[in-house]
Amino acid sequence: VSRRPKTEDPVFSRLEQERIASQLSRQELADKVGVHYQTVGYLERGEYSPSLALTLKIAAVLDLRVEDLFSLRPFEGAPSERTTS
Amino acid sequence: VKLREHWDELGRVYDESNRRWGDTLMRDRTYDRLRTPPARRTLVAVVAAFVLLKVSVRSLADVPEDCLDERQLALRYRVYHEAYRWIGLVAVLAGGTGVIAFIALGKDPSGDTLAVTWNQLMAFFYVHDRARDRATVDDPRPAGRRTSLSNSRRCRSRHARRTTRAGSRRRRSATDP
Repeated sequence: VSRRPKTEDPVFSRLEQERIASQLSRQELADKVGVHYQTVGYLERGEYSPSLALTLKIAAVLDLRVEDLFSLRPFEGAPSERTTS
Repeated sequence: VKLREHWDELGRVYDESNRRWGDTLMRDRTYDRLRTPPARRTLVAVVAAFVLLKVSVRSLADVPEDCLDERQLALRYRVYHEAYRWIGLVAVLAGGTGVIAFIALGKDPSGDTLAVTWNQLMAFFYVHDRARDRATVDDPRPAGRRTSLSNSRRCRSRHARRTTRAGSRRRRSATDP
């Protein structure tokens, strides 16, 4: 009876690198975007695909574009550029 | 004074039923397997495991929605969905087994044969007829117009449809050259 949840397209994330670059802990980032700190861990490991609202919130907190943080293709080795506002 | 007597009587009845209940419980041998030290230890372990399991999932099922984020909510809904599927499967299997056992054995699984006597059957029709008679007595409409509620509703809607159709037909014929 049990069926696995529908497999989703893998979403690659640079969240961990960018969070560390911003000198934020998981808990701090989680508090800023209003999720549980474990959810940040899931996002960093690519085990959970966030909603659009959450993606935009994270991007706003880290002052980055969404495509700098998440991608459907693996990120290349070059570090992402920071957006300047 | 009467109230006092009734109160005392009530107290006596309560004490008596309580004593009888205690007596029955003390004589009961149904769950003797659970009344041994190993069984008690197992039960404590099961309860402890249940509590620890709840702790390990942060009581995700009991926490209000406002306290959960989108991932936790999605997880909770998925688990609920899966649980309902399992419960449904178990219910269908249990019901199906019961029905098959009932058909195959010709009696219910508890071992008691099901039988309806002629008098019981007649009693059913008697009650049914009495209920219909009572409804007919209360019904102010003439005998030919009496129908059950659902029937009359159905008729009313059919009548309404018919009159609407007739009206539109009349209107159409009036406008047609």
